[in-house]
Amino acid sequence: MFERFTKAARAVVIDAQAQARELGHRPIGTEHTLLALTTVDMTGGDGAGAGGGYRVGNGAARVLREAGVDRDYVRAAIIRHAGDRSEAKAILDRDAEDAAALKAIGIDLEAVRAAIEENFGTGALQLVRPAPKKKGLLGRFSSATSGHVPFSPRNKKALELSLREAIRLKQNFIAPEHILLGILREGQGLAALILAERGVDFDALRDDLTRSLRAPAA
Amino acid sequence: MTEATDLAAAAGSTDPRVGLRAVVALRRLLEGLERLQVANARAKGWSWQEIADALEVTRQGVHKKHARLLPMPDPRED
Repeated sequence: MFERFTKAARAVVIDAQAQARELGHRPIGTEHTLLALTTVDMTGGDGAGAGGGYRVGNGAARVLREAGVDRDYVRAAIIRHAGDRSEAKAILDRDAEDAAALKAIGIDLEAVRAAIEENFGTGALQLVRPAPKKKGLLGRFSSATSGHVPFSPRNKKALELSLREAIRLKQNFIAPEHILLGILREGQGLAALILAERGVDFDALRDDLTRSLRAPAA
Repeated sequence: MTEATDLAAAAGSTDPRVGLRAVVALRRLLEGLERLQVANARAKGWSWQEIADALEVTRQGVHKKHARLLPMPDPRED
């Protein structure tokens, strides 16, 4: 199933972890996935936001925005419901320990990093720390990003339903739109509550998402 | 750890804790570099076989290790 996630869909799942971590929340709930859906921007070169190029990457963000749901609204709603427990995290400390250990054998980690970032961009080099082996979908997601924050059972369910939505639509890929459809089908999470509070018409939203998925390439 | 003499001493240290800790850090760096370079090669259109040959491992091995980390192309992007 994970193999079917598009670049944008993967970015959403990964960003959901980042959003939860940034807020100091655990586990990662549907609300963090929703926040990621409004945050991940795969516009690429089309910065002008002029229809065409935008839709392909993360169509869910566009559909949500048209329904009056944007990143700022979702983030504020999450904080209203769950509070803001943001904290600076300790990943930097662990990197510093590794840097010291490498220095002991004559390797300057910062020099290596600088050489790589020169060609590949900031943050391109990440030290790999395999998490303990986990089975199934969410284990893969969390180990792929060194996340210690687990996904809530409801959020897992919603992500699994995104596959069902893709199958229902006879599509062999899972895009951000499918993820949002999964959240809507699950229907019980904080994400669905936030959308309901905003007065979003779920059926209309489903139709818009399906339309976005079926639209031909620009 | 700031003086060159300290570095040299640590590099040749017979204390297993120091030496083994360096191995762990080196492995993390190695794995990070491998991911980066495999992703780069795939982005440049290299086949799994070509990457495997360059890494001197089997195609199956490199595919098993890295395929799930690389995104499925969105058919609508073409």
